[in-house]
Amino acid sequence: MSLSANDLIVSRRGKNIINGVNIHVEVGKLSTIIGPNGAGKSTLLSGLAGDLTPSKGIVTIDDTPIEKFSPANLAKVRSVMYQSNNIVFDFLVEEILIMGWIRDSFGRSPLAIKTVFELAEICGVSKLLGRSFLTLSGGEKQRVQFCRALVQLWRPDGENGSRYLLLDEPTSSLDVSYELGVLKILKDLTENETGVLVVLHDLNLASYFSDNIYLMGEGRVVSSGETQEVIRSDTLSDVYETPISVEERKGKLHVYTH
Amino acid sequence: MREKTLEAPRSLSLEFAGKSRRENLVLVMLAFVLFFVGALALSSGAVPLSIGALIDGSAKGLEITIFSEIRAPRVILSGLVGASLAAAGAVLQGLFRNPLADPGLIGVSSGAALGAVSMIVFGSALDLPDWIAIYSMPLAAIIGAMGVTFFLYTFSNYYGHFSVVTVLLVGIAINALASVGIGAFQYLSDDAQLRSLVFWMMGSFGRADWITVMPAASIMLVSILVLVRQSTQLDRLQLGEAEAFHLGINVKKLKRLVILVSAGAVGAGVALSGIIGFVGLVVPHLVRLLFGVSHRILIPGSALLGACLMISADLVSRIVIIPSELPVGLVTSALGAPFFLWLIARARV
Repeated sequence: MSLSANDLIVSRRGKNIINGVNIHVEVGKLSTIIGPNGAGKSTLLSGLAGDLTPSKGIVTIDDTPIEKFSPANLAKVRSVMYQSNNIVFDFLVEEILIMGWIRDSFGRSPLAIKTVFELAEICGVSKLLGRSFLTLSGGEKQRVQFCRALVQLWRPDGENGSRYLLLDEPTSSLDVSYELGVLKILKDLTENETGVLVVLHDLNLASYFSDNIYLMGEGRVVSSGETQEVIRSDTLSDVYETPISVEERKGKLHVYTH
Repeated sequence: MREKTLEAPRSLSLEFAGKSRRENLVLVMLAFVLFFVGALALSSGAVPLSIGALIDGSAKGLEITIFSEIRAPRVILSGLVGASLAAAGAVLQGLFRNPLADPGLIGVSSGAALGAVSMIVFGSALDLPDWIAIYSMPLAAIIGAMGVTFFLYTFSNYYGHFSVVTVLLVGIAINALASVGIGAFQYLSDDAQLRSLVFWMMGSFGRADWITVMPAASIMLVSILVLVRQSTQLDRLQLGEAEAFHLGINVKKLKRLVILVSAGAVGAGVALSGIIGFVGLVVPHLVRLLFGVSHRILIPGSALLGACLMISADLVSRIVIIPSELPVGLVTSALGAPFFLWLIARARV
């Protein structure tokens, strides 16, 4: 079971931003995309989310082409968190979170309210529920958006089937403790029939939590596999065009720049 | 800024549940205000009428005629035009995620006006049969409004996306083009046409009669109901177009529907009343400031408040200088603008 892109090519204005990428977001695994700015990480994520029509190649969810899904059916099996925060009107945090509830159209059922509260507690945003979203700090907004993505994927015990969560730098504005918290939540999710794909900047975070790493450079996957195979001094230094060294300590990889 | 602090988990669920109830309460309250304002507008004017006398049958023939042939269609028309403009404004602001979007600003009203003006000037030359001639102006206005929104839609889609800035800039261009067209028609018109054209441009409900009001009223009523049904989807659209798609919304379809329906409502309204600015921009903001930003309250709330405001504005325009009348467009701006300023000052937004 996986959300996959096969030989994916995405071009904009004649330039291939994604140039023949193969990627498999497997259920039960936490996959990460790393790579320098402009490598095409976010574009690849949009491709997997079904946001754009590829020039070539195909995106499949559990072997079904993604364009066969209606938007509503797609929303039931995959949730996405982007970096953008362009909310204009003065919504309360609780209103933002309840928008993630897609299981019934009214979104105010007792179950929806209970779920939103539980997930808000887990994501550390329950104190923010009554606040105006526009007055939050960058990190608080990010936690709220993260929580909303989780609300969308919530399901009761006993409901089965694979689902996928795609996140574009979900921790970019978070302090260390929330950063770890988010990745632990993601790790827990993978144990509940979920495939998670995260774009990360922090190489240490990626190497610590990933089951699979995709290292991207100039629209291609330069290296992929388990942490040990990708987090290597020579490959990273080459792709990031800066000296990077990797050391192993107590069974974990540590990445240093000079 | 609306802000609340929630202490315990328990109060949260109560808060959530209480909110839906509060929304219903607000709408019921607005409906009562609308009823009261409507009754006041029906009974006041150059000839005061007693609603009680009309009901118990003691009213004279002339009073009944004034009530049923002049005042009732006028109050219904003004209420529905106010509701349409306000609901369309709310929906367009949500659609373009821009607090400045308004049927007037993005060119929809101008398109409708151009259609209507062309009929004022050339309608008689077309020599249409009577039963079509009555509806020629509303039809031309609706076609004008839909033409503009369709153009807006295809133009922005052609360039790959449908961004707020594109739409507003194209709207400015359309407004400029439409005013060229309207100016040309003014130049071509004779004295009598020019006079009716100028008065129509200022906005008035004075020409309301059942034959023209009924079809326009049905279009407006149906449009408003369709728009109200889109509120959950429009709420999610506020997260961003990509985010709305991720939550399962067919964004293209939603945009198409909302644009066509709001154009229909605005076109039908503008045709009968002329251009009445301000309502579509301000009423949704008032509702947001007073009751919250969720479209589930915003759209029906704007429709009700827009109707109240427009009926009161028309009432004022009728009774200020009896037996003459002020153009209602002047009244809406004079009434609404200071109120809006006061609200802004109070809320410090």
